[in-house]
Amino acid sequence: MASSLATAPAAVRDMQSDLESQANALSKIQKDISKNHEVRKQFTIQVGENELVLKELELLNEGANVYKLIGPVLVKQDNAEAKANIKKRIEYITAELKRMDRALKDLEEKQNSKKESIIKLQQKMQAVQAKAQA
Amino acid sequence: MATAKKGTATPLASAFSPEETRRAVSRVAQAIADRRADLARIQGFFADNAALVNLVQRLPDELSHQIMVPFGGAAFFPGSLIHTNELLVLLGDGYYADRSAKQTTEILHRRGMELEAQMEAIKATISDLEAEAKFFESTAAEASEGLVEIREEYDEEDTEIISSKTEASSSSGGISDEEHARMMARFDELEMLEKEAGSTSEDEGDDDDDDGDDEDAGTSEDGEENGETLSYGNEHDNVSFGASVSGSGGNGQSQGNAQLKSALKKLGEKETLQGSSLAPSGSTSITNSEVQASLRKAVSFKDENGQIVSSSRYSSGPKVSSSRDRQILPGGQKAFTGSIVEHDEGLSVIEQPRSNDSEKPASSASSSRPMSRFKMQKGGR
Repeated sequence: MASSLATAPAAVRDMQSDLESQANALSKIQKDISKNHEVRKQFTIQVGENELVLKELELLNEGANVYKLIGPVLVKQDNAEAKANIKKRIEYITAELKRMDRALKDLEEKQNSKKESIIKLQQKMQAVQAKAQA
Repeated sequence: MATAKKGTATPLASAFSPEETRRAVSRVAQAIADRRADLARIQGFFADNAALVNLVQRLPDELSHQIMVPFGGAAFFPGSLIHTNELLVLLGDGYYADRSAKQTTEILHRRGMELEAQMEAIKATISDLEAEAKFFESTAAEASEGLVEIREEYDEEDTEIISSKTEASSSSGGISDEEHARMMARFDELEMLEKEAGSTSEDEGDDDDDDGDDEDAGTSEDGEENGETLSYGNEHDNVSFGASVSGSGGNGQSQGNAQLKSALKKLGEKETLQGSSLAPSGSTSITNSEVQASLRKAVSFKDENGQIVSSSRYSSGPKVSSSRDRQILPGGQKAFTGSIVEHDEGLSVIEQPRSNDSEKPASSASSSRPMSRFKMQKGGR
């Protein structure tokens, strides 16, 4: 490695650093994607849970006592109010999920273009190195 | 060998390297193990749920229960449970509701059903993954055994030659007379149908009949030449003619007659052509004219597929061509069989996406069914 670096011209060294930065960017994008996956998983779980709650609330009769746990206290809530809250929450989460889908698509596109550019760079570097060694 | 000339033979080991297949196998195995762990966890929840249902059902049997109350981590106090029919049920996401024991068991049953659905889903994914694993394993085994994949381009020329040869032998046997008789009979049936439809006049039927004569005389000689090329397109012809006829049927009778005539003429040509390669001749004309007859009745009828049209039509018409329609298929396949069996395109199409799938299971499986947070909590206790 050291010998090849020594023999390589400055252009190759530039390319190498460029490649490194590109690789870093790629790994960052990949990290973002996996983070996106994680968060999305959580959101889908929450949506499922909220839908269950909503179903149960629909099944409760009007006079039933409903409480919401806020911090350490149980706060009594109106049934209708609780239902409205849950509905709003489901709406919000689904909107968020959609947003994340878009973001994910964006990230994947970026990832692909980065990969391509890295491959191109590698090929160019190999060509230059082969020429230098020849 | 001819295969060496037009096909390629690649050892499977070069397309799927042993290490890669092994890696894929292990990855799928890992995914299966993950699913199994999920399944076990959910089965645990399910058992807990069942136990809880049991407890909640028994609680209101007594007004109060003598219990040992846990106090801190180490000590217990004797105490008693009162208000045994009043439960505060966590519905999820921080919402609680006051419920009676009976209502609580209902909620718990619903949860149990949800859990069961989740278990079913996981079992389905596991069986999917297992099939995939089997596929990878067999591929790996085949690759290591040095199996060779042979691919041949699908060559229409060749099959045409073959089919034309068979046609020549069959068509030279003088079908045209028999053909003609059959066709005439069919046209008569058609006429009957049209009369049944009630909206056709006598002379139109005559026209059709005459056409039948003309076209038969005209096409019997060029049938042999074109037969082999056209035999491929027969199904499409069916469709397109059906469509054109439906259009004419939709317009008024007078205009429709002329178009029908020309359509029939063309159909008759096709018919004889088809007759040379397919055993039951005239199936095209029958199906299409069935369509015509039907159009008399139901003008708004639009067909995208001649076959479907004719079969659906048979409610009113006699069973003239229901049997013939079926015969089209075996006849049509006859022309292809020799090449399709060897043709490998389908296989390769299946294999390629499959090999890409090796990356998928982890991600696709993970998103299969979300697990409710409170259920996890419940299971953790």
